Amino acid sequence: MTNLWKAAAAAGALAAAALLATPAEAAADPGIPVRIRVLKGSRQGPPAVAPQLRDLGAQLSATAYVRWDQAGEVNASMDFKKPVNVGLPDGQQVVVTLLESRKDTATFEVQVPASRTQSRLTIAKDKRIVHQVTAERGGEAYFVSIRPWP
Amino acid sequence: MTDCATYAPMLTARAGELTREEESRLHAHLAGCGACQARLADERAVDGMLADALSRAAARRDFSEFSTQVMARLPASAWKPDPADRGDPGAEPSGPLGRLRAWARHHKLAAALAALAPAAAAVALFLWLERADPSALGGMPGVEVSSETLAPIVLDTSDGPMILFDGDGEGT
Repeated sequence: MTNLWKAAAAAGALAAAALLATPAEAAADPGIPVRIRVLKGSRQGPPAVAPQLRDLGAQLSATAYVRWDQAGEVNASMDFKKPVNVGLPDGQQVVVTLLESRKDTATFEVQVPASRTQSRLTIAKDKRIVHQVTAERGGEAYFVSIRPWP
Repeated sequence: MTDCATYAPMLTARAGELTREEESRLHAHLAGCGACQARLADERAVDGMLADALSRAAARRDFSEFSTQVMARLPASAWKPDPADRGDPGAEPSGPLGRLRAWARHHKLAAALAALAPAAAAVALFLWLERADPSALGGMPGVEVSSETLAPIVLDTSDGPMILFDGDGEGT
């Protein structure tokens, strides 16, 4: 076997090792900054979106709710698989957990114990999640928005 | 008798050894010479007996070890499978593998690139998957929603997923 062949074989082995090693590195990354906001949507009243929610306009306008207010906010550096509790004005709790992050994507789990609801969502870096977390009562419902790397 | 002496050697000639002219002259002589006809008959009889005797002698001989004995007498270097492997630059490689080796020996750069190509393709695919927008792979990003009490609706917007619950929740 010539030296060139040996070099080619070594390069192939290195590439294979890199392929196997990279997912482990991704899982070992430190936590990421995450902005979690609590939103209140209403079907009644004049259409209005609170100024601090303007960045969510494309998602909020896709619903039948016309009035949007912010009811709370949590900014956290989330570690993997360490849940963050977010309180709602009605006393319920929402549990947000960062399951995985790659270079440009993050996967979250959203749990609402009161309604035994569980979601697993993967989004790209420049996207955000808007998730209803309470059933609608009297034309109103609560939501959370989750934005990684805000 | 001089003619018989001339034609006697032709009686034992094998097919194709005589010209057409010699054959026609021999046939003309045989037609009128009883002695040569008798000699030809003797020759053919001897030929038949000889062939039969040789066949019977060969049948008595055991040739099962013949090839083994011949190979054992040859020097080991004389029957290596691919002469090109012995470093003989003028030797012609045998078989597809031999030809591939010869090609790689004469096109080292191309052979190295060909060996690297699968690994490079695997790395490129991995990097593409790492950088790709999840929504570009399957339309909707990875979204799984389950609820025991509410009916989830998933909307895909340009800014990300929107998860809504259908119903007024009066039952919860």
